[in-house]
Amino acid sequence: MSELLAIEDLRLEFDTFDGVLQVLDGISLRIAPSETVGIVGETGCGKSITAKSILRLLAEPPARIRSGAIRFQGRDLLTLPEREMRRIRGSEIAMIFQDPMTYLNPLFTVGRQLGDVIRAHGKLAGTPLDAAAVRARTLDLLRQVRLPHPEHQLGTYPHQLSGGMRQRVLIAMALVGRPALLIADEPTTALDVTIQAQILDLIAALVQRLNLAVLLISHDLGVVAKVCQRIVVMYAGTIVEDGPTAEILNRAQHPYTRGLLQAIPRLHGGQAHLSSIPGGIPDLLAPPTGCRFYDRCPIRVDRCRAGPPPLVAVGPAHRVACPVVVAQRGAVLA
Amino acid sequence: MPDAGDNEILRLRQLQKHFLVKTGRFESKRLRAVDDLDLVLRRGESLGLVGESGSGKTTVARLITGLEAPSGGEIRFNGRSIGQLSPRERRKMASEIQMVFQDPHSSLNPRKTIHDSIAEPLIINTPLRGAALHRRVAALLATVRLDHRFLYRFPHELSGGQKQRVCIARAVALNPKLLVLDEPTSALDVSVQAQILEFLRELQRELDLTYLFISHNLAVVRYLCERVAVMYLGRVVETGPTGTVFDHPQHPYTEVLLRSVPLPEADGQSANAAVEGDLPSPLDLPPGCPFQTRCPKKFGPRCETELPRLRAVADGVLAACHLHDASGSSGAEAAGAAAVPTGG
Repeated sequence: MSELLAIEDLRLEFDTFDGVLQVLDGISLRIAPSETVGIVGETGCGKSITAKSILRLLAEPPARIRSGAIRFQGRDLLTLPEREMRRIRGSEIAMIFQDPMTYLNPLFTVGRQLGDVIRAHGKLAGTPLDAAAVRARTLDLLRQVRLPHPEHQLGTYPHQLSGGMRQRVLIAMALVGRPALLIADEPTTALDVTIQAQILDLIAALVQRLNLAVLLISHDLGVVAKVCQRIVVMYAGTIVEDGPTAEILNRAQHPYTRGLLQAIPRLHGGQAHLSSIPGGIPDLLAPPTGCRFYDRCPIRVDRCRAGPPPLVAVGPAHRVACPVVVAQRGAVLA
Repeated sequence: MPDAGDNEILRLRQLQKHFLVKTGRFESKRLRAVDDLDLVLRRGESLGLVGESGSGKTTVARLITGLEAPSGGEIRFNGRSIGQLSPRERRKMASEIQMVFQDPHSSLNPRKTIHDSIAEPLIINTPLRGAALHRRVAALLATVRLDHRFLYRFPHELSGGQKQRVCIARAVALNPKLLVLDEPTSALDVSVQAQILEFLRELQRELDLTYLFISHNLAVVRYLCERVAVMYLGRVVETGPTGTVFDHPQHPYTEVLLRSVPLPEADGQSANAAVEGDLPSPLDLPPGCPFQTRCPKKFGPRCETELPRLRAVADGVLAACHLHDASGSSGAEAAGAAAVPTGG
């Protein structure tokens, strides 16, 4: 399998007044060209930090990368000079965020902001564009993101657009540089459910048409299931499970993933009870030495405390970081 | 219109809340946040109020709790119209209807201990002081399954789920009959949400509470509420037993809403978004059915001219859609039927 992006054993810390926060503890993740991968996990699990560290959007300090590598098409992004990094941001890897209003300038029209991005990318690529070409490309992009009446929208300001339309404009901006990878950090969390469905459809259609690889970050397993071929489950700065979407949803192995799935209320079919995961996330100032889920785990054994459990394959493309599960599955296979 | 008797705790009749919004220097427009809303809550039940942003569900909550005054219509609590109560009676009623908000962090005073936050309504409304007050606060904390060591902590020392429990403890401090919960789990992670939902169910049984549960999360409503009312642009478009409404939606909007929810299931995905376009501006509502601009089942000029009324369409289900005209009961009964749900 060819690889577009590979994160290898990424360890990332934050310096705080209380001490060193161990935010990411050995994240390893691969994305193939035109693959769609979703990262799910609860608040504070490190999913957004992982996404931002790919584009080096974290302020250093307080963030500090202790070790690891992020390879994109063979280059290590962590050692790239800032100049080079700026060529990658937006051109090869683009990102969209949760709250589109924050990323649009309220003082300029949609046409102007999108046009600026198009001009900047034209210059970067060494092919400056004239006004007519910029306008044509702007309209083309607005059509691609299915914004209604694109000619009319050129002159509108962000506050005149609905949340869903703003997110479409941001997606259009993200597409300007024809990126190979789109990172979408909770792109529909601020939107209503009918609008969310439209934006997810749009992302799915763009993936098909543009051979785009997507890294989708969400706290909502339903959102990820709709768009992604593969799901990565994070817990307290570690990846606990990684597998094809259907595998994770139907045959989750890690006790955290199972707990998470059982805690979700379902739309169809009555549920007598929701099970929740007892306890809370560990203190990342002094995380447990072994498995970070140890304190809340229903199947823990003593050796779980020995050291961070490695991700081990338990099926085709399905990896789990739990020695107990691996031992059980191993016994079944043998 | 007959009352449903002792069984009924709250009735909203033709309730309206209009806001005047300035659209220019000399012009203003009427925003119908809630329009001709009929709704009944029965004692001891949980009614889920669902809808997208701008549907008016939070305004309904604010009207019921007295945070807003209605522009028209009537709110009856325990058989008495709120508008006709004396100020003294009004205050007493206020302690019987309490509200829990979405963001527990901004609902708690950061400079007050948990003890003081919970004690405040007791100090204002009851003669409890000293040791008796302390015992009551400690008991309330136990009611929401929080350890007494939290008593003298400050909100920032608590997690989101713990803070929401404190808010619930404060809301039940005065022994209310009706709890209005406005998106109480939306700010919480799913595993914490599961704990709070389970807890809310137990609390309802323990304290004999009635819930009006406002949420945009349909799955959460399915889990907690026996009955549901779906709102769109200030009106109820469908109401009935939650299972029936979710499994066999009668109004096209309910159908669209349900189909839009992405399911955490491997093969549960619908291929395409169920509806195109955005909500129309609430300042420029189309005449006729408010959903006609997006409705996939719009069938003719009638949808554009005549406002559909809620009418009984199936077992215990009321829907406001012209599609059900031929099969449903006659329109003249609509208002009465809307106010008194049948079956269930």
